[in-house]
Amino acid sequence: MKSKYINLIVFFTCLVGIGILNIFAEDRAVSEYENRTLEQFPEFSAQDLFSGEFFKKIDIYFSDQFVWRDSFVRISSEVKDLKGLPGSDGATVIVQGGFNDAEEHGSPPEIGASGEEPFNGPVETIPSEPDIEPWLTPVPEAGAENKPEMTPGPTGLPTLEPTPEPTHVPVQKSEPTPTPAEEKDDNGRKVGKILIYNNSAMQLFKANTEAEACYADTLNKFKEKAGENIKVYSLLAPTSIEFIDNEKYKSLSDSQKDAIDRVNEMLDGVVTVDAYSKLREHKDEYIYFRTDHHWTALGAYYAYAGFAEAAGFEAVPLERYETETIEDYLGSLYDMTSSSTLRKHPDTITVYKPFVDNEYHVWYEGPVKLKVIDMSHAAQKNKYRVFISGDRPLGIIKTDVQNGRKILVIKDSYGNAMVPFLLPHYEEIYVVDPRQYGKNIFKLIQDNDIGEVVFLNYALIVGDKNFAGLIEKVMNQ
Amino acid sequence: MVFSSLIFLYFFLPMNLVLYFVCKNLTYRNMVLIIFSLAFYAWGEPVWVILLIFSAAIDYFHGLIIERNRGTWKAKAALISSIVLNLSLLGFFKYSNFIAQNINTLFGANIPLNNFHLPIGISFYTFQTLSYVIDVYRNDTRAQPSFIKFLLFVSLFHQLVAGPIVRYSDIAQEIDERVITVTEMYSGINRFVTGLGKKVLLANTAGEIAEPFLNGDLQQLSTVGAWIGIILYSFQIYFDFSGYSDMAIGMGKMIGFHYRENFNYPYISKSVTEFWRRWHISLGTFFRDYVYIPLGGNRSHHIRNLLIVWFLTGLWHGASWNFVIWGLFYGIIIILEKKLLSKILNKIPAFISHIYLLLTVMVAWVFFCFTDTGRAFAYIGVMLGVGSNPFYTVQDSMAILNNGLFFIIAALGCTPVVPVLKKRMDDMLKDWKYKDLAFDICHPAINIMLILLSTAFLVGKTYNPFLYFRF
Repeated sequence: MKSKYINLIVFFTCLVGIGILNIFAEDRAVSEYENRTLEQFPEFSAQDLFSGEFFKKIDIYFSDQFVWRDSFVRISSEVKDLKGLPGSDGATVIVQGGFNDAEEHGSPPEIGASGEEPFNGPVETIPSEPDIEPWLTPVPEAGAENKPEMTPGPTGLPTLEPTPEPTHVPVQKSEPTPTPAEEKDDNGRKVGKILIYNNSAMQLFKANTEAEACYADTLNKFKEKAGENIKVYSLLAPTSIEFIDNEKYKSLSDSQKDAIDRVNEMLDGVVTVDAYSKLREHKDEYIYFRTDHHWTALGAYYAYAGFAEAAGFEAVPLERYETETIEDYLGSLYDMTSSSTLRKHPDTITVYKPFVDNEYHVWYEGPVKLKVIDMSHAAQKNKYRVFISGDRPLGIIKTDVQNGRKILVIKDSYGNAMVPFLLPHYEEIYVVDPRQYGKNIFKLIQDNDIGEVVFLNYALIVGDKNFAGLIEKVMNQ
Repeated sequence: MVFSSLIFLYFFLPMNLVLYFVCKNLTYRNMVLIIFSLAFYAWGEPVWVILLIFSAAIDYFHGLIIERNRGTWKAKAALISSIVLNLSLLGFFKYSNFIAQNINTLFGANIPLNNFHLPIGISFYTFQTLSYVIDVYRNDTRAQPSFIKFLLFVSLFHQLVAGPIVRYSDIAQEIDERVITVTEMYSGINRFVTGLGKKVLLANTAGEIAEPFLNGDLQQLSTVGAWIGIILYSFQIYFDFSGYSDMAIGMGKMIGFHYRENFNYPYISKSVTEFWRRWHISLGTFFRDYVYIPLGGNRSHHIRNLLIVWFLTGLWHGASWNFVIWGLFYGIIIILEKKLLSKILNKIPAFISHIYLLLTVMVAWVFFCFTDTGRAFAYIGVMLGVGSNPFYTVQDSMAILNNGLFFIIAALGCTPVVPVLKKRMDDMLKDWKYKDLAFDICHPAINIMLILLSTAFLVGKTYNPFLYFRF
């Protein structure tokens, strides 16, 4: 009979003990392990109290600041890995409801303003752990291996550092404008799938011939409006799933090659850039991140080589560049999946530093001086932003090339890694992110006497009609 | 608040138990329970907690009026008034938009919709208070003279938001007088931890794996995938709901309340009739005692009575047609079983009856799962291989390979394998003098493992909805 007390004692000690530890444990600002900021105790407001929001925040706070949180998270992901049958290769498909839901367009990024925090993942199923993306908060120590000689951000503009820009993820399922929601599945839910295989996460592609036609149509219209004198290119970059070495898993995703070919077939007067075969030639190299949905600068370089052929100039050999690396990058796909496999295999970002003198400004209300390769982002969470400092409505790079060539790059975030390679070939480079740019694009072209326009995006944009809608928007502003 | 949240496990519950046991006097203990229960409810419904108290007050007074005027028309009037008020509250908060929408679509009317959300647990607590008033009227139980004690019955957080639907008569005595023994606490703790594990480790995991199959693009779903999805959903809803009931029953035991069982391994049934004797028992008996039998049961208008009961059972689960279809589907099958099938089911080999039951239940879950009935029918189409969907895709084999062990554990968890093994071990070791000690060491060891593992899953979770919360 006495031994029955053991159960009681163990149970109460566990609950009360861990409960007390939680009260006395110190709050942390950031979890390096999970690569995100942690919820702090909420500020009280009557409105939050009555809506129930206040208590929800306390729930999240309690869970985020839970004692031994990192160990518990590790245990749970390791135990979850055990639920397979022996002989399984651990490949999984993860579905993201509300994939990429929150996007740039939420709030126009004003410098110094505190932006809305974007929210990824199925909203209604994550009551206590929303993906509050902490891009804005510098992660202490996370970039410790960076060279100390690097300048910390644009000098003279200290206010810019905490720029609360929204997520960098390119449009695939986002709703920039209240356009008809054709990218939703038959139940009105937004769904995106991510395959994790061989330590890499890859977005699956679902072909949509209607959206392809829409893309081609929009570009054709663009070309027609732009006129004879303006050369328009279309570069669709395949994504990592296209070059996966496993036929079985390849079959989960539709062929991007076919989709790109179909689009190119429909383009009229638009020069198509063959980035695909260049990338395929080098598919065994490190051309895509494993934990992020972007390509690496190396991948962007091969696409640039394809572009050089189409644009009629000689690609600069890669050896010409000095490089720098950033270790331990866990990108967007890690954030979306929290995969323990990805966590164990972080990425390395290599940057190729421009050798051409240049001045880079991004334009909001006025110009803000930035760097084409901005290593200050290496110490922050969203390290892919080292490339032209992330997505901006309009960026203008002026170089000392003095050949009179001017190009407008209309791009998603894939473009960011490729733009730096264009510096040796153009006197002026205009970089527009149509998700954020709110002015007439032809006016920009005319005012600045731009002769070339390249649409530089990843292939997933022809999977839905959003992109076409965005281009329509900037054409008709 | 939900039981499977960290703040409940490591703040609310220990605080509640410590304060409860610090107080020696029953009145104080009841106060502790009421305060914690209202806080528990207010955590999720800071405004509607007032509705809860209001609803309790209505039935408290009605109960008293009935008791004082027993046998007169006044008692009857009070009963009717209470039923009308309770159902109006439920109707207003739960069904008014549904009714308005239907009228709008049918007649092209334009009744504006309100934008209240459903107060948590309203379906459960209205039924509890309703059963109290009816029981008092039928003289099955005495009216509770103390409002505080009555509020305790209504608001007790153990069963407030997701059942079991506790009858006042079941715990009337225990409100006034509770005995807490070590053995009861011991088994209450085991029960609570089992429920926690079922909810956090099994139900949540099943839900995560099921997500791409249930909520993905139907055009790409394969037949095998559709079955995987609905099997996982069946696991999820059972472990979720029965886990919640286990936790409620366990917590009750810890402080001397005894709630009736709500589940009895429903998936091992051999007929739908049996299934409903084992699934959500407190709801089934509620409808039996307060609707089916008063309507005449099987003595008059048997089929009509069954259809009414099953229509209401469906509607109780949600203000949406899919739940009505779900309920009527069961109603029709049960009528068929009563009139015809039961004779056949008794004769055929048991495993065929099991398969029949499981297939029926799974088809029914499809209607339960999708509020959009169009999607539910399309999903069943995919399950049957109608249309151009593939039979099998790579994703299906990935789901099976990656979760094979989970499938086996979950399937075993639906059967009484654990209690049977425990019994066997008990029999085998009955002559061993350290047997009790061994059990008394094993239980806490297993409990602490389950608690810590559940904690790890909750800390690392991305997914933790209680399915029964919408009702």
